[in-house]
Amino acid sequence: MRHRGDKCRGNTGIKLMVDHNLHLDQEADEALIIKVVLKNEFAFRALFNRYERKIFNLVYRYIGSYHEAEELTQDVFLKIYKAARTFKGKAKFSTWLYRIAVNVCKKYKRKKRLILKSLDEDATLASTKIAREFCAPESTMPDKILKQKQKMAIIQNAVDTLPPNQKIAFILSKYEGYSYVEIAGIMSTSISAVESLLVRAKRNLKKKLMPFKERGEI
Amino acid sequence: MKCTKAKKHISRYLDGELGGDEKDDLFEHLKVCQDCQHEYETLYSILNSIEVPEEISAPPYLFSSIRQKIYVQESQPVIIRRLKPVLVPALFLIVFFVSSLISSLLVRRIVPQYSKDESAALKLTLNLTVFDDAPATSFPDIYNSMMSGETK
Repeated sequence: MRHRGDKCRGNTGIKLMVDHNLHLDQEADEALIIKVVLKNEFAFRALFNRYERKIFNLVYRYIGSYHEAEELTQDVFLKIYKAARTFKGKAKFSTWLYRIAVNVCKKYKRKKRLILKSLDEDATLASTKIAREFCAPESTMPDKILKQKQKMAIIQNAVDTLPPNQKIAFILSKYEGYSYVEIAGIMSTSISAVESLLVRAKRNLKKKLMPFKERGEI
Repeated sequence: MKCTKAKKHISRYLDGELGGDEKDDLFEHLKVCQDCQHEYETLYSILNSIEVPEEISAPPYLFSSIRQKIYVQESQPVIIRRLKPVLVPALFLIVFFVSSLISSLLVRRIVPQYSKDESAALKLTLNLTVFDDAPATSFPDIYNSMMSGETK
């Protein structure tokens, strides 16, 4: 990326800037966020590149909609940019980032639930998802792939209908591979609370998925 | 080990969070408790069926959308950015107070506070002509009595 002043510096200036940007990719998160406070766009871009995919997938797995995940991921990174100066370094940057992402998701779900209070949205969403999977043209797919899609839809439905905190804890544990300590940091709660959430999440999933398991559908 | 504790430990073990003595205690319990053994096998099989969904790519234009939003926000004057969250509630309060003030002033004009004489009040505010009571045994007086049901 060139700026006005570079014409005077010539190729050396551009090379120095490119080298500096490459160097940013190797810097620690905590060093980059300090630069973001100083409105350094390259540092912000480096952080974005590092975490974009993870945050997008976390949001997508929680919300279930590609378009909404896109909007919310933007909101997460906007919040990071605006609130960069509030990062105190007590926790890891990734914990702080995930905490913001989780809060953005939960706030969005709460808002959506208030708006759609009269509709049984979760059941509608879940059944729509399953229906979408089974309608033509997917139904013309080979059996093996169709069975796999059916299985994914059943499991996704069961996870989607977990209460919000259980769902977040389960996604962070099972899908993202975080430890109880890390999940407690992200959810701003205690380790025993995380343990409790996961016990209940597993119990709920067992209740929902056992019938399918017994029929051999998963 | 009690079953309630064992069930918590089963969950922790399946999440890879149980080690050392606690793990040994759990396995000792599972050897003798069929209920917990069944619970462990069920949960293990359910969790084993749950595969981690494949990661999907974010839209390629995500960063430019974010940058655009930052640019729009930063191009607004600082004072507007800071006042924006309180602007709507403040406007609402102003409208509420102004309308309360206007309605209380209107009420004061219509109903004078200190007049005890109702007809004098009516004369003052609504510019009505209020008739004095009709003299006794006059036609209007008899008529009024008949209409009000009084007998004279």
